[in-house]
Amino acid sequence: MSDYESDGEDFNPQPEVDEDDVAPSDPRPAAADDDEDDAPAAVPQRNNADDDEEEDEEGGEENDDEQDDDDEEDDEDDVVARPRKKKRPRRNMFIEEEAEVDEDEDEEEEGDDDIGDEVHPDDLLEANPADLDDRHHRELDIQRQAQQNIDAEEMARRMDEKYRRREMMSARRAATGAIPAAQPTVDDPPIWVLKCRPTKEREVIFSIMKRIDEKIRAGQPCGVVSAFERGSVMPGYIYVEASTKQDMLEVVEGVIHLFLGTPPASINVKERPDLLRKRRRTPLEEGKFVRMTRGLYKGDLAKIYEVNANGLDCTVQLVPRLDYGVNEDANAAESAKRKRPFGRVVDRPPQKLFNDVEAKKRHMKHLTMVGSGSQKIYNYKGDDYINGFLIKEVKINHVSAESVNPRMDELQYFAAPAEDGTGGIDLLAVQAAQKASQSGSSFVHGDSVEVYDGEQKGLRGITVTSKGDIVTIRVTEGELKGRQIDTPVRTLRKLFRDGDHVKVIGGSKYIDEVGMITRIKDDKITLLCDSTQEEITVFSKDLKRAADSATLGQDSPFDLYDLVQIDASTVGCVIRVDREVLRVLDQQGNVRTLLHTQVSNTVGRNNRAVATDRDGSEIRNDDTVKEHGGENRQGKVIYIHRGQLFIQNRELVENAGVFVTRSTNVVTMAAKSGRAQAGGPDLSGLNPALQQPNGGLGASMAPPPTRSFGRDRMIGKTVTIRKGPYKGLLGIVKDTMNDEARIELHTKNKQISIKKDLLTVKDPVTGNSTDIGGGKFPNRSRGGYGGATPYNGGGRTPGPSWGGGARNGPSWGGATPAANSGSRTPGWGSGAGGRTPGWGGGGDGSRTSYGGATAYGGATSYGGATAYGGNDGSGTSYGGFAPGARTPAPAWGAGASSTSKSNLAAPTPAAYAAPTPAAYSAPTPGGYGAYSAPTPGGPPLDAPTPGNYNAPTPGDYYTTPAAAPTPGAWGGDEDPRYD
Amino acid sequence: MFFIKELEKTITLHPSYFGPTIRMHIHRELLQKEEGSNTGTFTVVCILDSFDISDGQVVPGSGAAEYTVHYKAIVWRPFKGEVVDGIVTSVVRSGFFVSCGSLECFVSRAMIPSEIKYDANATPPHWTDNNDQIIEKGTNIRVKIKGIRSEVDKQFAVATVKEDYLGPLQS
Repeated sequence: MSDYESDGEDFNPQPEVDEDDVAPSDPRPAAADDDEDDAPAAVPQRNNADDDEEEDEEGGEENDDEQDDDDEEDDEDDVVARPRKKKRPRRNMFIEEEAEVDEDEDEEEEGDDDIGDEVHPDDLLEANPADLDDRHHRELDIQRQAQQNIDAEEMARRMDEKYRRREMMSARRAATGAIPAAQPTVDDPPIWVLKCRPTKEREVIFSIMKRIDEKIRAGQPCGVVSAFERGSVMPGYIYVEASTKQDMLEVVEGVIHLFLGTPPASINVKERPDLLRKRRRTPLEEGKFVRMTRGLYKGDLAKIYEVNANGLDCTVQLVPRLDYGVNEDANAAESAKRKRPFGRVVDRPPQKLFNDVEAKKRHMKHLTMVGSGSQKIYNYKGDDYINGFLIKEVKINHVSAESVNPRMDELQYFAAPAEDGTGGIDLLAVQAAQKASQSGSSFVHGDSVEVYDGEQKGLRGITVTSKGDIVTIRVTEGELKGRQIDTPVRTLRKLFRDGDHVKVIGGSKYIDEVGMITRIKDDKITLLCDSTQEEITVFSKDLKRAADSATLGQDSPFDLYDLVQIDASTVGCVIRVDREVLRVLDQQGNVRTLLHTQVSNTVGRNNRAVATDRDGSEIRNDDTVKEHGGENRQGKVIYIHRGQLFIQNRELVENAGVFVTRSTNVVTMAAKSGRAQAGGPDLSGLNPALQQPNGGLGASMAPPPTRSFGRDRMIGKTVTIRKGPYKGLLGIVKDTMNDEARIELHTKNKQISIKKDLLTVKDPVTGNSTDIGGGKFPNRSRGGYGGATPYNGGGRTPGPSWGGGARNGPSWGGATPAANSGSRTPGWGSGAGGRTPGWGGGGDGSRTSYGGATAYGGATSYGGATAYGGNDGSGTSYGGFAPGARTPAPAWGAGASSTSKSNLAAPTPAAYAAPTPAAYSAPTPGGYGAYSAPTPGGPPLDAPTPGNYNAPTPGDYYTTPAAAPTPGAWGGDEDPRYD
Repeated sequence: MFFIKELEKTITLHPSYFGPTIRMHIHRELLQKEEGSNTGTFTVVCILDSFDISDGQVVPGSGAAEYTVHYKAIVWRPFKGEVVDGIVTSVVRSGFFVSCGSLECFVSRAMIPSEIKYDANATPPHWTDNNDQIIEKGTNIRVKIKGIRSEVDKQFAVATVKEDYLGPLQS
């Protein structure tokens, strides 16, 4: 409050002074008149003795007279000389002396006799040339004489006229309004408008001038008074002032570039003054912002660096648009390069600060460095670049200072670190640029405002209405309290106090921010944002009192948690939306701050995106996952992008609760809609046993209808056909279908389809029968196909698992086992170990086997065991598979598995196994063990056998003949299987 | 500034409370809900004992009863220009926050005497004049409220310490 009052005191006297200044200025001439009216009479009587008094008297009347004592003397004494004296510059003592002469002349007037006596000695003293003095004296004499002849009234009139003119002059200088000068009348010579070639106006004028000159020299009368053009305002026209049309035509006839095709028209008298009217330009000042109006930089924002003294050019600071020769045609001829681009440059390079490194790449030859020290000045292709800005000299009519309206993104380039932390931008310059565009609309009813400029400076009030650029305010303080006053918008500023709760309404990047004022300095107001608790500085004009609480005006196309494309290979999740910038967490986990314009678009959410966690189970959007290791953060997956997960956890504070991690680094906690999850992928869906129409484990140990995945291993193999019309023929497998193979026979150039079961793979070189995987697949498979019998089931299973090849070709690694195990990619799964017991068992060494063990552990597995009973080993193995015991051991089946079970498992199975499998297994595992690298090494015959079996199974089986024994064993045991 | 103010509150009581001790329940409800609450202009500090409970009215459809309670309470309403004591709750580069009971105040850099400077190197960072005045988290401080922002259920103020007798309190 106190601030305001003190301000008021500061301001209020000001207008009064102004009034003093203004008001007396009117009477002054009158006073002077009075003074001078009696001056002719009074002054001569006065002597130096009277001067003091006179000064006192005048003190009251002319207290504003700012003249020296010397001048005052003159004032009093020299009436006539006074107006003249104003114009007369005081050059030196000599002139001064002259004035004294005047004074003396006055006295001379007063007493003619004295003059000569007094004057001459002075002059002589000064050693001035006598003749000069004489001349002046004589002139003066004549003036005096004339003056005396004029009566007082005439004198008054003349004075009046004289002063009025002077006032007019000053008024014009002050540009308070157009002064009606002598207007053209019908009596004046008419002005004709002629067409000429655009851009050649000046040439035409010059040639006309030459012609006039010639005429005058030749002594011929010339009717043309003047000729002129209007420059860029009216291109293609010239104007000739001539008394008659004929005179005009005489002069202009035959002037080149002048078109007389259209008859010259005379311009209406009223319109003639307009021809000479000049468009008023906004004055350019250093540091102000302007817009370029032509050239490459057309429309760009520029800052005036310097205004040249000639008033025609100015130097501007621009953000360069350079391509550093990137788009240059290297093959273009030199001459072609010089060709100036015609018309508007189609695609100009983007605005970017000058980069000398870029320039050096291609245009080293064009680049020179001139500056030294901290400020480096580069000269590139003839232009200077300072601090990255282009410093360019342009004509002032190539820039426009009107309606510049700099935008924030343009201004960012011109940002310079400011010591008061006002956003790094020269706010004053911005203000100046924006002030022009300010209209009454930024004031609303009830704003408290202050007039900060003009006559009413210091006035405070509350806005009542605003209409265009005029705002009506009701004065609240001072003498005029209660009155309503109209003021132009540009002289108003809004008034706020410390602690006011305000809202930013425009003109700044902080639009819609709400906060409390913490500091007021002139026009600049610092406020503490409610939303961010940061301090921002804005202009008072951009503020209004806030009634509402903070809401961020949302016109950003991006929302919190949007996934946005940052560049071709980078995406990020928006973690904060500010007015100007986005904060984005990119896929590397870095937080970036980007302008809205730097973000191309939102990526959106791909609902079909799937990733796998470290356990291999799938992750989809909205699943809850937990980091494995690290900080063990947990959260909901909001985006999946190429193996990177954007995870949101509302309990985290940083980055709006979003973090990024690799999908292989998380464990699924819960899947949306209860999808099957890790720790047991649902095997049933893929378990071939379950997919049997009759489905049950025990119910049907029938082999699953094998599905084949991947390339069939049979393809390309040399085979013989064992049965059917082509029995005994040799061929090469060209293609396989479900259970058939297309075979190109060696004998006939023919391809036939044969059931895979009927094929035996031969070594193309030796002709020996080989097993694709473990060699037995033919047998097995056959057995498998045998189908109905449990044996088959058993046979089969193992078949696929090892030699899966028979049926499915790929054998083991491949799909088949998969089918068996029921896991997704069992082959692999098995590799991974553990999960799918069957495989686990089969998979790799020790681990798997244990897995197998667990399976057995389950009661179910025993159930499985029963299955064994039924099936023989192989069947059982199925049971053993899933923890559920459905297909526990099946894969490898038969003997092997059962044995293993027996070994591992409790006594019971052992019992079972003992007789049969044990026997089998004994030999086999041994063999296996031998083959299989790690496990078997240990205890082939041992209890651990399963380990052995399992481990080796896959690998061994198919690669090795070792496998052979097993089947053999089986075969022996259960011939029917093999048929 | 503290006032005694007459207030009114409608209390809705679940039917399970209906019984001989209903007044007690209303009383308890009143104290629980009102004491310490902020209306946006003032904070209810303490509800005085004597109060007046209207007849209850059962709300159709729910079975709960509404009681209008008139009561007197000591309330605190902060005013612009008021000098209050508080405890510094956080110190940032641009100033510091002070908790004055129910009112959270911010003291901006512009409102801190120029001799008190921000020292970011200290642990914890604090404002200090390198003499006996240290403003850090937990400091008892006297500030003058410069402006108040009211929201529906809370108030926020900016305050200054740039005047005589304001600043950290010697304790």
